[in-house]
Amino acid sequence: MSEGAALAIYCNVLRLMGLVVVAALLVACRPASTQVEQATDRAASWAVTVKAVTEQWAQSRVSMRFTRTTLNAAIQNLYRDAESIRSIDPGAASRITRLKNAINPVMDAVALNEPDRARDAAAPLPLIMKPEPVEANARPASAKGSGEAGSGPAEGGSDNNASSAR
Amino acid sequence: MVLQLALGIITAIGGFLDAGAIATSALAGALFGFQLIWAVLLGTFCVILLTEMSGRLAAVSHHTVADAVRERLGFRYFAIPLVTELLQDVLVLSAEIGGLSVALHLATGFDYRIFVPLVALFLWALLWFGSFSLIENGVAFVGLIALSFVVGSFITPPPWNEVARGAIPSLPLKDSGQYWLIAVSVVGSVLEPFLLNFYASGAVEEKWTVKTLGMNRAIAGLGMSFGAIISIGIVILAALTLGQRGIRVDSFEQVVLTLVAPFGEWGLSLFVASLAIACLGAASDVSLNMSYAVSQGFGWNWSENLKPHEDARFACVYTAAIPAAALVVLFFDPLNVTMIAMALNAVIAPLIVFPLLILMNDTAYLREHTNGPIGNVLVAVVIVLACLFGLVAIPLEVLGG
Repeated sequence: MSEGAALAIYCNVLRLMGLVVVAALLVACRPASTQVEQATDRAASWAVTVKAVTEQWAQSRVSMRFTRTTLNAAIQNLYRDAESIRSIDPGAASRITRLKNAINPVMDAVALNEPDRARDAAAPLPLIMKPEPVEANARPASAKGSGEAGSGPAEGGSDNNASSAR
Repeated sequence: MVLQLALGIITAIGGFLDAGAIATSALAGALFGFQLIWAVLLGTFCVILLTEMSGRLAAVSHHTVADAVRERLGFRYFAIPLVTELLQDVLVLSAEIGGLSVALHLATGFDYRIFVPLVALFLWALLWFGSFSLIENGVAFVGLIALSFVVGSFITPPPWNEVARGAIPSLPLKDSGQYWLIAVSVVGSVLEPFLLNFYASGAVEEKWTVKTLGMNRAIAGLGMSFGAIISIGIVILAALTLGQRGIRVDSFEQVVLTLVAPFGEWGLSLFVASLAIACLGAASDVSLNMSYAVSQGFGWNWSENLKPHEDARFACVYTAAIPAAALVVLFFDPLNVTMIAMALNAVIAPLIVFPLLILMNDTAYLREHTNGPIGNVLVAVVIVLACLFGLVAIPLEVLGG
């Protein structure tokens, strides 16, 4: 391969890379619905994570320090996600905030070294992020904010648990 | 000879695994089960081809990729891949420093940011005072602890027929955007462009000759394949322990659960050790590669085996790069930095790989050991694939968040 031909091909590769960047800039818009969906998915994942880690801690398979670190990470991430979508979908943000608040009793139980209470408080967390039934979606999500929205069947357990933990 | 081969293979395994491989493999397993194992295999196939070529170039011509590109194509064309690679290397180094800091955070419970300056200082001291063989072989030996991911996947046995099915590329059943983004990141985590010049530089440091071409082939092939087995182990464990529960990977805390399931109370310690050693090894490799690329490009003295006062400008490069990378990870989440760095690895691959292809066909450098037509076609396929992956990755990185 001659040097000139090699350089010409190389220049074309560079041009292609430039096109890639331009293409990226052209499509670099992120729909709001995607943001809400991703924040909700992440929250659901954190709910299951907290439940799993608390169970592992209750069985002495992970340390208290790691459990507290994970719960803190969950609370911080949930707070960030809730705030990032609050202006787009206040209902979803409230649900994430409710999940974040429901982790506090788990945190307290871990701090007091009460594995059973921690496990009980963590068990219903995933239910908070379960998709709402259709009729629940049909209702206005205003009234009493997250508390009202949480009265659906899927979320009843977590509400009861959150209030009992309080 | 056998010892050298064994050391080389262990080093290649150590070089394969880093924060990016752990994070992307865990994410792939958590979200798509065994379906993305093909991406690990594709990346491994590409990296075996390319490292073998860069090793062959070094053994036959005693040139590394960087100085041969500068010499063959001129400084004007060398500057573009050099600047691109340096920027990308800083990002990868940030990911590794972040990963090591997160490992210490998991071990102690303190904020990871506290450890960032300490990790940066330790890394710099290791490079300043250590020799090439100490850094490569020492870190790589300790890095074998990452084999716990492989052992773990046998303790928690998966449905092996489904694992085998994952080795065949398939279209996503859900979330196609995310699927392709993670596929790109997995390939990028394996096909790290810095590896090419680093591998060639190591070959020159260890004075490889034409007689070591067979060993070069064995190290590139076996070392990278063993490394891929660890990555596949992570995918399997993540699929079984995270994916089945509905846990995705938004933080390294979640990835710890992959080893807690098979090893119980030892799981956290094994994960922390694996992450820390993998990141330390990769961080030293990337830092050295920046020094190698710049020094070789400008014709300065270069060798990790020289004292810093004998190749002061070589030492200056990593001395400047390490704090710069540490600053990045102080302000951005380490996992996000890692994922972006891995996707960009695939994007910039053509810039680094194409000049290598030109060199591999030049008899002035390779004599009778130039690429055959099959090697050329395979590398061309790698370039096209990397370009396609790049086209997919950048917009998805933005859209996918």
